[in-house]
Amino acid sequence: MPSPLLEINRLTKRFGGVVALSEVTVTVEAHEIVGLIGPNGAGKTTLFNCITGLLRPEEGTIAFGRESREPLVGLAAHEIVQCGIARTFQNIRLFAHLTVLEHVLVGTYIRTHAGLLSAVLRRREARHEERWALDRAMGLVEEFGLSRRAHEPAVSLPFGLQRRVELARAMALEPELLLLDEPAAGLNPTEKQDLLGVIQRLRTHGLTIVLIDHDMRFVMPVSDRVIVLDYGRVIAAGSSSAVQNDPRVIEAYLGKPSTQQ
Amino acid sequence: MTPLQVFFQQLLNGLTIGSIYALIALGYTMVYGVIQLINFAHGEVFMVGAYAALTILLVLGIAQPLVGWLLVGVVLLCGIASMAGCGLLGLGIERFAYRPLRTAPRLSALITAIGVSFVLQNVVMLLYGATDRRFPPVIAPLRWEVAGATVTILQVIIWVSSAVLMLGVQALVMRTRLGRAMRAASHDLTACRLLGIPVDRVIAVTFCIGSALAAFGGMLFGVYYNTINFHDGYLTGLKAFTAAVLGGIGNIPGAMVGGLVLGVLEALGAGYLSAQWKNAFAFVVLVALLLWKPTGLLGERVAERA
Repeated sequence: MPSPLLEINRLTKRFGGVVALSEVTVTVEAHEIVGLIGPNGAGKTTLFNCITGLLRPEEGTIAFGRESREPLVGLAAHEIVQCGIARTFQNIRLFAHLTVLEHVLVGTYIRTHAGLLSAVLRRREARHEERWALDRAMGLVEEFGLSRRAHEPAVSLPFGLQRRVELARAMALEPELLLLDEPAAGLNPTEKQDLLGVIQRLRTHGLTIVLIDHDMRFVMPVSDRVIVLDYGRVIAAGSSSAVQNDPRVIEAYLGKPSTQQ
Repeated sequence: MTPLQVFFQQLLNGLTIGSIYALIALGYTMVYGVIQLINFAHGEVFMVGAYAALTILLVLGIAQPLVGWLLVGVVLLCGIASMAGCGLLGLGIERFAYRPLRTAPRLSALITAIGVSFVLQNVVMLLYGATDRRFPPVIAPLRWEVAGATVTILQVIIWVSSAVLMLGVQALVMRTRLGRAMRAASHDLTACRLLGIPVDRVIAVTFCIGSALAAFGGMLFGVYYNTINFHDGYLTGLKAFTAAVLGGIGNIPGAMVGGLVLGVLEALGAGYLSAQWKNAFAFVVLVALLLWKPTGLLGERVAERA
């Protein structure tokens, strides 16, 4: 049995008296697409924030990596990215003024090394590296169908394309694990279909993906496995169909059925 | 001199001091762009830069004007040494004065900036004395008549060197990995962290670059006015800050334009209205801007970040 890529063990996160995550235990295998669903406020984004180092959990461990199991809790956010985890945001976070291409170039930061001195002296390595980054970014821009708008400010693009910019930027980090926080939020049905296609294609690159959404119908077709959070606890995990028929999941989404007469 | 010639002369003088304001204003605007801090110690870094250049001239024992390659060499040596020294100073200030306050309310950092500026002023006063220090006349008093106005070789050196530095900064910010990280950091530090960018390092480098530019401005200032005093950083720093606001704080081309415009306004004001009120013009401009166009010439209205 292959060892999991991401192993979250009894993770607890509190905000004052509110328990946002309570002993959450989740594993993600390499090359898997996992859907993370749950009603609003279930703790899905909090879990992402703990994994990516924006929040520090009070208890529990997070280990990442196939060979070297890197403990993530306590690392700075930018160090976690360097371990190979990239994410996108529910409310797209693009940089005003930067063009589409520049967004993807910012994503190549961790794959390049030129510092201040070599930039000022225009050292040959720096120029070489810049050309490499530009090629790579152009490739991603093309792959995500953004070539025509590459030199436009990203924030001027329609919402659906902004999502793609965010994805292309995340892919520039060359992650092993990609965390997508409600990537379908705010998209129209056509754009959602496009996005599903993009996610399917990313998997063929050997990527492992965890996908948040509260819309089961969006998550289920692409996910190998679905994990359901409610009130900070994992209430169900397994194949789409199993989860769909789980009474606890139905209850979390639809409320308790009234007592039958 | 005909009125037109007088105007032209004042314009040239204004562009000269304006170039120096622009170099200093870049540091204010870059630091503000990345962490929304008005670094009031920046004027003092400029002053330290002038003293660093003076020290090197004294160590080299230069007492008479230089010409040719020797001049170029000495200017480069002074420039590079004071830029490197003040770059390190900027790194130190950021590391020990501002970084510990990164999550503190903005006012704490502002007050700390004023404290740092007092410290720098007093250290320099202790080391070099409270009286004006004369700069040796490094540059030959070569001058030309251009359309009735006088242009000195020193003015040409100031224009050319500051233009080169400003274009260099613009290229660095727009076209390199580090510059992109700086621009991204000025919009969203958290998103930067999640793209693997070591934000603290980007902020430190921003301070380093800004301080180095101010140091070069300090050297030019000292040579241009022949003299430097430990409290010169205060007034010139405030003027450069005005220039940064004039161009739109946080906007790099804005700082350059703002510096030049302010220098020209000041020179014209001194020439036509009153030389004694020269220093007041910059602050009249500042007050007028804050009243009618607080976003500056090239700035745009941005929502205050939470």
